[in-house]
Amino acid sequence: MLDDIILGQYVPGDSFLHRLDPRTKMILSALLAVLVFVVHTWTGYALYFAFTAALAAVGRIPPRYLARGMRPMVFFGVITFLFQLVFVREGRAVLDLWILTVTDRGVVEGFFMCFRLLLVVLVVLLFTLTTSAVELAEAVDRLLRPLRRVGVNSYDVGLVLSGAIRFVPTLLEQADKVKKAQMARGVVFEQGNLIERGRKVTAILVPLLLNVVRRADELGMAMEARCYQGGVGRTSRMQLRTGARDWVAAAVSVAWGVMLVWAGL
Amino acid sequence: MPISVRGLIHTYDPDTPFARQVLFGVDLEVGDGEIVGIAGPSRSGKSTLAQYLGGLLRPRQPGMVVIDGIDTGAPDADIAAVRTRVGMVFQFPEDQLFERTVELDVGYAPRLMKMNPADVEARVREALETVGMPFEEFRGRPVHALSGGQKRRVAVAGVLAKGCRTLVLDEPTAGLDPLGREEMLELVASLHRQGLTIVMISNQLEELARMVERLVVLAEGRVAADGPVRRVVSDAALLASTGLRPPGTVAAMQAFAAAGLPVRTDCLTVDEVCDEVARAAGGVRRA
Amino acid sequence: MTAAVPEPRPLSRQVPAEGIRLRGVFHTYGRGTPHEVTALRGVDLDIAPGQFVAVVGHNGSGKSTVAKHLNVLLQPTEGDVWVDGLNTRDPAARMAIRRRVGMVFQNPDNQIVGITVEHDVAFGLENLGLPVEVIEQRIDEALRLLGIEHLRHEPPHRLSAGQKQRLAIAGVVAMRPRYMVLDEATALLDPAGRAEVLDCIVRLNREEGLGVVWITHFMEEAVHADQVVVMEGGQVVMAGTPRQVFQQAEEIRRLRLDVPLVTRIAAGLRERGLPVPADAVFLEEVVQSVCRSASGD
Repeated sequence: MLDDIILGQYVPGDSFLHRLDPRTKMILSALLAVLVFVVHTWTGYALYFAFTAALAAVGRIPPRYLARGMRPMVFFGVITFLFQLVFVREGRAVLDLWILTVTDRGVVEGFFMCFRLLLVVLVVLLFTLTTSAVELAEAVDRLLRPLRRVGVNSYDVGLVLSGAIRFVPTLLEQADKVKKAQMARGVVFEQGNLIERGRKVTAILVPLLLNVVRRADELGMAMEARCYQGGVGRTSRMQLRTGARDWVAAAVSVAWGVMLVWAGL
Repeated sequence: MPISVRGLIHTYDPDTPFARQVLFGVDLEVGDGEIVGIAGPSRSGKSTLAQYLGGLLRPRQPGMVVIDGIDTGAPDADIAAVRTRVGMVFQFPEDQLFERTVELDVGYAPRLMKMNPADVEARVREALETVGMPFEEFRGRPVHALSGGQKRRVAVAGVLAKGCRTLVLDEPTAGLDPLGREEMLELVASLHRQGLTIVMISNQLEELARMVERLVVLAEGRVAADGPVRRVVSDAALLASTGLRPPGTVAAMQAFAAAGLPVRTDCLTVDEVCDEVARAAGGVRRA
Repeated sequence: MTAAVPEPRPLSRQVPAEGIRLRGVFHTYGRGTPHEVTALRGVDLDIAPGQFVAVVGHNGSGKSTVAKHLNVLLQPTEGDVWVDGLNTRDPAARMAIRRRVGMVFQNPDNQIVGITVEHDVAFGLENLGLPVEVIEQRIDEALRLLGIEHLRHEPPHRLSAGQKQRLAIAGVVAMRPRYMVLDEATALLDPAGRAEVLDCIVRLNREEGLGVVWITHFMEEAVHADQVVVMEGGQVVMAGTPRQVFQQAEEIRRLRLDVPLVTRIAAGLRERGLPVPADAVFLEEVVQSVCRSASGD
């Protein structure tokens, strides 16, 4: 399961998507994510899916890799589906089981909610897989800058974000190591009742937490030694440039969204 | 035969853009009561191999790992039994400590094995004494108050407490100061004297030359050499091709040889070096 | 051995290069708490500009505490530390001192902030507020000096430990400090990585005139230093050139540090009657003197 987490794993490249201004990508991804909740027909979802598939092709993300990243989400998709099945009461009953009534509306809504969830995750993945953490941090910093007036240090928010992403692989590696070290001492994580399992998880969490605290401490010191003092007086090396490419992307996305809404899909 | 490895292959992150193969068909046999060193430059696949030897990774691709007669790749293998017989000490094993006191932490494995409290205590006592930490003195000590070298020995005791007869150690001296390093090497040697089968992984030929009789060199996921330690560490061509640095004594002899002194280069101690150089220098003079 | 340093001028600013100077430095961690530990007990130390100083000692000898005093990560409990005439107690001088004294720590994983190699080198330069063109030029230069240009776009977790540590050094070198403090920077590396990093530092010292404070457990690594300082129990117990210090084998053994291999070989050969200089620290010297005597000169 840990191996399947690809959120935050940037796939380097220089495709059209990679070269977009991260701000453009961030805003358009947000718009696309909202659009998912507007779509309400089978054709609409099919078109939406086709569009994201086209984006993946443009970004040269291998479909198998993307599929693997979606794998952990399937579980939540199924839960969402079942949830809708049980709780949607409108429509014609297609199945009566004791106190449960499954309606045709419920089945359709179940599929739709499931699609929405998976498509939103797909959009987010496409964004993170084609946007390096530095670009992400820079985009967040720039987009949040207006909030400086109300006391939000947008630079620190961006730094925390990129720092978190920088340390994801390091911490996953550490977690894997501690887990294996405890397995070597005889822990079988898949066995036991809830309390025993909780106890076993402590054997990973406590050492991991101690490790993170030590790392954070050392990292803070190293940053200070490198003259870090917050965003004050700092230059930003990354020059975000919005070009023709960004206008094309925005125009295509917006036109496509308007089309979906206008056609009532 | 405690450990037998045949044609072992391993790939990290298969089916992703980051797929990376690290083992390309490794064969290795470790006999009962043997002490074997595994050396290799960083990324040679030695830590991955170590995890197979400790029963923590199980072969899925072609290749076979048999530990104490159990084929760990078989779907129905009793992997818990394997992990009881082989102890694996990871790099920086102090990272695994999580209980408040030394006694509680070392007793973790025996408690998991559902031993009764008296037996747990006996195991903990034995394991702590084995790593040179008197039980009565250290049982109640808080783990965080120990020195780096002590923490590491507690971690080794925590693995020994399972009652394993084979120990796989991955870079046991990494990051220790000279004192801690000497203590750790002495501990490994004494475990071997007590009859444990030892596989010691290290990138320091210097250390291995002192500790083991047989040395396996891993390079780019393959076994590049497997033989008596004296022969392997003085094989200049082999070390050059793998990027390993010879022990200082061997490097010194190579310098004397390069300067034209007729010496053998496989010296492992300062005394051997001095005797050999004195002999050759005297010989040249007489001639 | 050490350059003459003028009398310190406490709390002065803008003074030309004069080296680093410690006088009577005490440091107590957790003062006034039950966990009070005195790590330094009166340390005096002079580091001239461009000098390579090795500080050797066991864990707990106080060597890392000294290191942290050199760029204001710690302040002395008693005594003074001056960097090019700037006192580390002066809050206004803190940034000026940190620009002059770069630090590299033991674990490269815990000092790399950037998501790729080039972004990490940029971090310190951005903190200095340099113009973008200068930043680009300094990144190129630092990556070239450390021989890691080809890794420019790699994320840190895909580098070897030796490469990561060279990246950490590049990040500091790019800021063009006058001194660089390396606190057990090779302790977690394999022998090849260790040599890789030490070679880079020796070159930066010789060719770029960078002052180096090399903190280590290993006496062997002090062989390239102009000055070796041995610490024990929060005090300087031995100091001198490698030739002077290595010769005192008995004292080194008493401190339970390793006597360097070349020194041991030289001593062993002398015992066997070969004319090897007692203060030899480099293998080449020993080899040459043996060969000379063997050929009957």
